[in-house]
Amino acid sequence: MAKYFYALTVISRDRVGMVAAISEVLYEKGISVEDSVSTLLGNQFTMTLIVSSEKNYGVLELKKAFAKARKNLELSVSLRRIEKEEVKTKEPENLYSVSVYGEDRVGIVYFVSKAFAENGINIVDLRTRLTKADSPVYVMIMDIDLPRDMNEEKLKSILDSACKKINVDYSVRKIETYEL
Amino acid sequence: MSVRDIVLYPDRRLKEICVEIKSIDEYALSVANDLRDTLHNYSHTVGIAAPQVGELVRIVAIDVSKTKKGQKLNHGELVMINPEIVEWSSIIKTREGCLSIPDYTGNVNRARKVTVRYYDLDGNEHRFDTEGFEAVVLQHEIDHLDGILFIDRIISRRTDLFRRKNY
Repeated sequence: MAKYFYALTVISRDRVGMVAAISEVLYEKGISVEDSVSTLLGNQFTMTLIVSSEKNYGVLELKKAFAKARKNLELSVSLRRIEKEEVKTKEPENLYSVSVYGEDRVGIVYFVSKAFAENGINIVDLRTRLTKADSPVYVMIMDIDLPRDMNEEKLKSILDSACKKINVDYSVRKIETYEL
Repeated sequence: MSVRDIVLYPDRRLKEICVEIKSIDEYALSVANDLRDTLHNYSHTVGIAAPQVGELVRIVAIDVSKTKKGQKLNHGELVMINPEIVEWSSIIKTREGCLSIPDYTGNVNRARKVTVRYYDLDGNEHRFDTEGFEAVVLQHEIDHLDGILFIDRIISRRTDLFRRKNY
């Protein structure tokens, strides 16, 4: 049977019952969650999902299904249709975990991600956090996928020049998965 | 003897490689004693390394017996000169934080069992095996002596989705 896919994001002030309210709407429509990540950012709870349905709902029709939840929980919902090919994550070539951290300043994410973009390095996961200490520290933890022809030395030299510009520290670790 | 202020990141002293103690002189003893005093000043802190009080020498103090987690296996209070992990085996995931980076924690992979070698304040060499919480604390503190913070060892979660490629 054909399946139809949608990208859905929801964000709202955090409260008990958000996931239940959203998944209830999906359940009532016979929609499955294919891939998702949800987390608390500050006091905003955010959900990012790829969902699928055997029924070919229109985007507007699906959005309407969230009307009640949206009103009760004051959440923002965005939804769009995606292609079947966009559902599966491409196998990575060469994964590394990267930590970048330093005194907080504007541009840490930008300078690092720009250097990666210019060198064909794909970010597959990114988390950032600003600590609430008296002198706040900005921490950026990433998983990245190197192009096939790039080695670790090259990665380090790219990071080195980007991080020097913004005066932050970095370290890299190859991600190795042990099959036991 | 005194309780010292904790050096906070981004202070560069936390990213330096500390020098070995060549002789246990007055200076080494005063750093060791300050580490012990500072360690006891923080009720939840089980380990501290010399660079965290601004001294770039290879001394750490740990005491995991202070906490519930450390009850199962511990060697009490230890002040260690030139400590070194000489053997390790097996991996555990831990959630760590650090006095020098307040308000941040992360998941880190550590060895579950280690053998550590060090000198006590009288210059006698010791060596023991430990595992679990005490082993993790030792690794965290000894990392400080090489300018390595736990942030440098964080592994994020997303990639556990990817299968290992054929090797």
